[in-house]
Order: sequence, then structure tokens, then C-alpha cells
Amino acid sequence: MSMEKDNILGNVRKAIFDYDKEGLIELVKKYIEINIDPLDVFKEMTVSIRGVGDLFNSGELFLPELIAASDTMQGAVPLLEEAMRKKGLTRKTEGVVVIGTVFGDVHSIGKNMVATLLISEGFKVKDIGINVSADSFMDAIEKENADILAMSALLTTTMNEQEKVISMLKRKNLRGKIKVMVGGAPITDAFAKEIGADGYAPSATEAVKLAKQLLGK
Amino acid sequence: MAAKGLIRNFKPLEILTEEQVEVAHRDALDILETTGVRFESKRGLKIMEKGGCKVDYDQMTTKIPPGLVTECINSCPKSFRMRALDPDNDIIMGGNSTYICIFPGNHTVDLNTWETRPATIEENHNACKVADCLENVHACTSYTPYCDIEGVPPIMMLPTSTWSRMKYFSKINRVGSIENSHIWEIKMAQAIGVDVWGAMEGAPPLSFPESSVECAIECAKAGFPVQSCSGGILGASHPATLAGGLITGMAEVLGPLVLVQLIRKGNPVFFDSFDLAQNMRTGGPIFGHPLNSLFNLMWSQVWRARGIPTQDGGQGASSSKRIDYQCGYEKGMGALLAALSGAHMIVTPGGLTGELSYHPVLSIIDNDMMGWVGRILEGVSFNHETLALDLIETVGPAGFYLDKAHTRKWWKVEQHFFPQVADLQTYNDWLGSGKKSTLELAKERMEELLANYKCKLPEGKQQELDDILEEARKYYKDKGRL
Repeated sequence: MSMEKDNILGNVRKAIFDYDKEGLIELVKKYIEINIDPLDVFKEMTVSIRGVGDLFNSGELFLPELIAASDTMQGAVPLLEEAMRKKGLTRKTEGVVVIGTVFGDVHSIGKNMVATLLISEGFKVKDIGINVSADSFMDAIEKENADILAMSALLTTTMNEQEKVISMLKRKNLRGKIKVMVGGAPITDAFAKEIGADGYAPSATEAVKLAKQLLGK
Repeated sequence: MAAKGLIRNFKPLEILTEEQVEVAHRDALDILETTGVRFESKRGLKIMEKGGCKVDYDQMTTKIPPGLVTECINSCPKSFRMRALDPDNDIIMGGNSTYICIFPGNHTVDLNTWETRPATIEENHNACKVADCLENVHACTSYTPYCDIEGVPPIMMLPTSTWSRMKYFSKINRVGSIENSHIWEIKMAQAIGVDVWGAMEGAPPLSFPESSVECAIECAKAGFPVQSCSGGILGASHPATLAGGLITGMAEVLGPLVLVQLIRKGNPVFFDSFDLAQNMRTGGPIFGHPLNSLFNLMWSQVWRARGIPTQDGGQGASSSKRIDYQCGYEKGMGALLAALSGAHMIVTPGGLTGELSYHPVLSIIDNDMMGWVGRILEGVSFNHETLALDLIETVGPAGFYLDKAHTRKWWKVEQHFFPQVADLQTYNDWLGSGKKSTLELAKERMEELLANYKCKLPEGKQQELDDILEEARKYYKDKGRL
């Protein structure tokens, strides 16, 4: 059984390192059918994606590989979450992060990098995309019961949206329940403090450190 | 009269074959017909539909028949004039002229620590004044010199930037498009009787935000030229390959061209390329990368074949954080290749650290650099007199040319470019004059220019501009944006 399990987990790892999204989905479907513990599969995916993140950080892999690996894993996440729900299982995570690019801004690369590295470090990440309104951020935070809100803005013309979202958190009495981190090309530490965010990170790697620090990890 | 710009007297550098140019054009038309472009403006989409394009209002896309694209290309002028406050600063886009725009920077930069910070409004005015004095600067894009001005809320940035430029920069200006900012910018241009050009900047791939479409519509209605911009990042918002990026960018700019021609047939249009390589480690664009220049070489060539003037917008900044050797080679080589490509406008002086910073001292050094490029473009005067065969025979071996009338006449013609701040002294003179660097000489030049600056805008007009800026402030306040 152990050898079989090793093979199964090896296949999961291979699919992620091959960026084979369809292959991974098929594997996961098969493993759910034969009653493999979804938590084991999830853990292997997280370890694999962390391996990709390490190779990215050491300069052996680049952004296209990092994003492709994350995309591969994300394809299988809904299936595993459904399987866990049916079995009454809960995945232990480092925390739940809602992430998005603010309203009026369609830039996604930095946000995607941060999301991928957070996933690789064991966070549950709900990426709600680009051009996200303050209302949509609120909905996602409440639905996901998020620990952290991460907002990205690439333009000087959209950076003030971050302040708008924080103001709405206060109005909805959510500010005390969630940590807020901000990032993007025009954002600075001083700006983050000025708008009342809990932290600013200048890079994706720093964003992961900040997220852990904000949750006392 | 009009500003002379840099004049190219030889064939531009071409890197594609004629057949490749035609393949690229055909594929761009195919993208427009089958994939289409997205205009996030119902008003824009209605114009396209009325003009014979297929429109999907849910997806906000429009598919354009090839015949219409060809008809619209043919109705664009190959050359057009833009009026400045001083007619000597008018520019005539097209042909073999190249004009120079200053490059935008978010912040100003400290020339000792190289750290950036938002500029003050006074620094913004001063940077405009310096640019106004530079003979190789002919225009300003929007967001220039600075995008982030201390005390100016982001929503007021473009109206404030244009207000500052209209006051202290008497040459040609571009208007931008953030939440209807073009309304105030067009109004300012009309108040002082100058032309501006409107930017229809995309959110690649193949997509244009509402404000950008509105800016193009209003500029075309006012009879101002419209610049359609391709600004993809290769491997992120455009295909990673240069050829794939080219045809995506071509389709991208042709969508707005059709829109503008449907609004006002014959309205001037020109195409900007701002395609940049992607840094696959940081996720940001790479300024100063050879791919950017290769892209622009193709861009100038494919549009020259259709008679549409072009701008190379992406060669202005270096990835360097300092005014140093990297900054020099990235900007210099980029600007030279852009000029050799036949681009009609190049956006270069003043920009540093990607788009993060600008400094008027750098604009002064870049002004020299563009003069250098301009001399290259002039090429070689090759005739009986310049060949000087008779003189060579007269002087003979071991002779001397310095005392000859031919030298007195021709050295100035041939060697007329003389940099204002580059150090060309002898070593001993350099020692004796305090061993100054080019940077120090440029700082001194900046002080000199500012001390002698004279505003060309009549006083009454200044008040009109102030009033329009106040109107803009009230408009955004009423909309709850201030």
C-alpha cells in the first residue's frame, strides 16, 4: 500500500512539474474514485508547488513555469475540496487570503506571483481577479472568512482604491477581523501606513514573509 | 515655419522583407475580423456598428471587416501639422522628420542618493520650463514630466499635469484619458489656441478602457490627431514572440484607427509602439532591452508601408536607477535605433528607472544625445565639392587642411553638432576647471536655463487655464472623486 501511495503521490508531483493540468485533474478524479485520502493528495500538491517556488527563488525556473505550476494545481483544487467536504475533512492552512487587483486596474502579473507563492507556503488563497470593486472585496472576505486581504495596484491613478476598500472595511466593522497588505509598483511603505494598511511588500517573496508575520507564524 | 526636428537623409533601417510586411498586415486584418477588439464604451461600439462592424454588446467586442480597415487606412493623412503656441514650434508628422518627446516619470529622483519621491508642483513647472528650452525636445506626452505630484490627488493628476505644461511648455502636448480628464485638457488647448493629440491607450491584449475610447472620440470630434497605442508586454499581455506581438499590436491600433475615421474621415492618426520585454523573474517590463528596439524596427517598417506616421514610445527609459553607464547605453542605443527605424516621434529625454522617475538634469543630457542622433540621421553630403578631389591633389601628401577655405566653409556644415554639456575639454583644461562630470555640467546648465526662462503664454491666458483647472476640480468633487 505504501509503495502504491508513493506512486500516486509521485504521479501528482510529476503532473505539477510537467504543468499537466488536464493530467492532474484526471489523476485526482481517479484517486477520489479509489478512495485515496484527499488530504494526502493536497499535501503532496502543496509540497510540489513549494518545490517549484524554491526553484523560482533560486533562479532555475522563471515566471511562466511558476504560473503554469500554480494553474495546474488550481485545476485540481475544487475536486479535492469537494471530496474533503463529503468526508467531513478540513485542510490545515497557514491562513486564508483574499487577493485581487483594485478597481480600474487590469494588471495581474504581480498579484498572480504573490498568490502562487502564498499557495506554495500553505495558505488558502482566493484570487478574485482584476478590476475588483470594493463591494466585491467585501463579499469575498465574508464568504471566505478571510484572515488577510491582499490588494494590488499598478497605477498611481488606482492606488487610492486601496484606501477606499480599507474605509469600507471600517464601515462594515470588518477592519478589526482582517489584516490588510498592499503592493504594486507605485506603492510605498509610507503610502501603506497613510491609508491604514497593516503592511506593504515590495516583492512576491516579501509578501509571503509579510503574510506569515501578520498572522504571527 | 515649423520645428525642424531631426531630418533623416537616407533610407530607414528595415529588418523585415516586403513579403513579411504583407503577411503581418494580412494577419492583423484577420485578427480584427475573427477575434475583434474590445471597446469598453457603448458609445464607441455604437459608432463601430453604424460603420458596418459586428458588435457584441455583452462582450463589448467589435469585429471589423478587412475592407473597412483598408478604406479607413487610406483615408488617414500621411502627414499632418500640429500647431504650437509659437508657430516655430509647430510639428509636421510624417515624411523623413523625427521629433522628440520627453519621457514620463512617476517621481523625481535625488541625484545624490538616487532615491525617488513625489515631485512638488514647483518641480513639475521647472521640469516643463527646462524641456521648453531644449532644442531637441519638441513635444510632451501626457503624465509628463511627473505622474505623482505632491498634494495632487490621483484623479486631478492629468488635468494638473496638462495645466502645468500648457503654462510652461510652449511646444506640442498630448492629452491622456483618466475618468474624462480629456474634457479639461481639450478645453485648455482650445483656450490657448493650440493643437494637442489624444491618446487612445489600450489595456492589452486587444482591449481599450472606456475613458481611453472617450478620449479618442472627443479628440477626433475636435479635429485633433489621435494616437493609437500598442503597449503589450511580450509574454504577458502579448505573445512572447516578436512576430506574434507585432500582429497583435497591429490589430490593436487599427481598431481605434477605424473608430476615428468613422467619426471624422481624414482625421490624423498615428501609431505608438510601447511593446516591451517582460522580466520573467520580477514580472515587470524591461526597459532598455534589445527586444524593445527590434519590435519598434518592425513597427516603423510595417506602418511606413501603409503611410501611417509612428511613434516609438518605449525607448525613453533605462532600467538603471542612476544616471550612469547603463542608463547611457540603454537610452542611447534605443534612441538611435528608433531614429534609424524611421519613427516620426521618439519619447526619450528625462526618463529613468523604468517609468519610475524623471529628472530635468537628465533631460539636458538626453537633449545632447538626441542632437548626436540627429547628426547621424543627416547622413553624408556626397558631391563634387565635398569629395574635394581637387583640394586633395593641391594639398598633396604631408600637407595641411586647417588653413584652407574649403575647411572654413565645410567643417561647420559637417561638424555642426556640438553637445552643450558633454565634456570635450582637454585633460589639462578639465583638471583646471574643477574636474566636473557631465552630471555636474548638466546641473549648472539647468540653473542657467531656469534663471533665464521666459514664459511664452500671455498673462490673460494663464488665468483661463487656472479657471479650467478649477472647473475640473469642481467636476470631480461633485462626482465624489475628491
